[in-house]
Amino acid sequence: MQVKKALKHIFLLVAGFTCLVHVACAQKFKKSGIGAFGASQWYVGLQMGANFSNPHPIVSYSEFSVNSLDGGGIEKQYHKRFKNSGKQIGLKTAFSPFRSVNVSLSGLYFDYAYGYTNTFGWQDQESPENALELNYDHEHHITYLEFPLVARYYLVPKGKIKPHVQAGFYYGLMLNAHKEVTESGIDRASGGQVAFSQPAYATFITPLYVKSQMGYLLGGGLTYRVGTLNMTLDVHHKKGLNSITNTKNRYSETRQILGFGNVQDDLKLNNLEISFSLMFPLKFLTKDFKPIVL
Amino acid sequence: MLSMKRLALFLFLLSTLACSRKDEELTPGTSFTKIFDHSGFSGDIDALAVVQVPDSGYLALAARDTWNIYLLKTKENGDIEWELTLNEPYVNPLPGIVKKDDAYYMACMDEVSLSTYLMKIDLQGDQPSVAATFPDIKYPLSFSATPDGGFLIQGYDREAQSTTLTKITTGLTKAWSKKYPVLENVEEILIKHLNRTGVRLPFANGTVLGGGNAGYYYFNGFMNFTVSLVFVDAADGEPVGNINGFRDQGYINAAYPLENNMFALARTDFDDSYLLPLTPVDLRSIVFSGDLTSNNFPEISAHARIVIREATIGSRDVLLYGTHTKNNQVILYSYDKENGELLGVEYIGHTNPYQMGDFLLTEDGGLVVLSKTYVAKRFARLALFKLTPEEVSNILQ
Repeated sequence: MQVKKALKHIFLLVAGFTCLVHVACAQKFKKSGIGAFGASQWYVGLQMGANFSNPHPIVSYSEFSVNSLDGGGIEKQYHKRFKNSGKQIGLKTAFSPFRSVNVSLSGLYFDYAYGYTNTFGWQDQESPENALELNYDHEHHITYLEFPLVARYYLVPKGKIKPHVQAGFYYGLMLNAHKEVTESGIDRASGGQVAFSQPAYATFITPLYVKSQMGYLLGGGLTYRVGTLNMTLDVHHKKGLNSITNTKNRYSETRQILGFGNVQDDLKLNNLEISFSLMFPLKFLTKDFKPIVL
Repeated sequence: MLSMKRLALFLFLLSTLACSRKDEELTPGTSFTKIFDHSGFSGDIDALAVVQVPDSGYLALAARDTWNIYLLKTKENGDIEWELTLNEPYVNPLPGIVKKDDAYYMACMDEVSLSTYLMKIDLQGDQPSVAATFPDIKYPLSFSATPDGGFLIQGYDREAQSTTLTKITTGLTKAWSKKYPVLENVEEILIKHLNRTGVRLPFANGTVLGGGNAGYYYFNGFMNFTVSLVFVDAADGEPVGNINGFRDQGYINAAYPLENNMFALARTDFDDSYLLPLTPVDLRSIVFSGDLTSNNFPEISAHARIVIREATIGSRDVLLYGTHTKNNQVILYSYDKENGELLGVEYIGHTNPYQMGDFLLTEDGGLVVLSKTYVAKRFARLALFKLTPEEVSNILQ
């Protein structure tokens, strides 16, 4: 239902933006130059791809409090960027006021994924061979209804393959969040050395995150024109500007969630996004359906 | 055309910023869960008492490795500030930390002589100092502060096979001491209570409040073969009435005196637990605890510690009962103080097992719970929950 609702919002937004651009671009027919009918083009299409998050913890928290002699064990070890992958899909509309510039707005169902591990150890001081080690691997998925507004500049504005650089801002409304936790360990305190692993369990953690995030993105890519279609491959580095953690619920909601002394750090999400877009031109010059090619 | 585009862009950015909601920020200490872990395997711990101290941190008392005294001071956000295990001969900390004249006191036992110490706790983490020694009070079982600035200490005289109650003056000298015959030897039960190999019995004492009862104290302990709630004259300790239990299997588990002959009570009958939020008690009568009727609460763990507190939440005066369930979750019941109606129930702790130690309302309107937990399903540790005022108000729903 969340996805259906998100797609409905995306459709409405893109349709709305398209109308807005259409009104904005409504112009008297001019034969040439900026503002001429044939000098601009706008597009609508699909965008999809994969993304890889790299959380940036600001302050770390734990349910565990240890004295200075023991220390350790409560810090989260965040996964490397490419260990957890997310995905995104949605609609995109773009407007090129002239050949070398393109401004786009997307409405995306965006799934961010990141993870971390906690390792705990206990040892019998009288019989040091008696020890227990526990590892908890957490994978979080947070989905947003995300709206990136991106300005693109074509480095080579002519030709079938056009490289570009781009920059923009994005704003995301959180839809939901869930996590999977896997417990494993080595038990050397029960008469031998036993390595064990429990099945992963999953749970919703939506209350642990704030309702929105925003940030900016920088990147580039290639556009390849096939007939009337523009196929674009983009690579973005996205930098979150606000902490996505709901500090109010950090402990209170965690009490209801399966985990092991685990509470949410204050963190910003940085992300590497790889997207593929299929864009259809919407302005045509002739009755035989020939699009304006910039 | 360009101005329209700029307008569209501006509107989008404006709506973006407008929608960028900041969820409510909490100051440190408003809410937390803390498990006080260490890397050792070492033994058991029994959470006994928690108080909030002037720096807004918390001072917790526990019995570690059977009956050693363990003190823990935390910061406002629940992080450890210092911890201390007292050296012999100080053992058997009694449940409760008492504040008197801006100082914090605890009571404990001498490991060899079984006599009683009243100790003053140093909030900086130095060893507590002995405020007074009472060689005649053996087997100390409970203590409390009295409204006149003194103390009441409950003990057990093994030779006389009697419970003792001693009134301590503000100058920390004995005002009176009274013996209450048990009429049988219960030392074995007491030893199991002290070394935690048997049921922990709810020994307690205190002062009966207001109404026409300003001159009475009470204690919960052995008398006449049973664990009884005994009311005594504050002038000399002479017993005036009591609520008898059934041996050590049926008894008043917790008592909280209210005004006008009313008590908030909890009783245990073998493995069953009953909560009686507004119970009229005739101090000068002798009744049987089993006759105090109430619903059985099958979710409460058998013989679990039950703590009763009075609070004003919002504009409502309530009685809060805290204990733990059979599956080891802390559970808080709230009752309307006016009519004894159950208002709400709150469970705390869904992942690790938690057992009730103590709880109190904090200065910010929140609530803190000291409990015992097991990490990695096997290591006993102290845990401290701090609930926000909003969470506390949820207990009423």
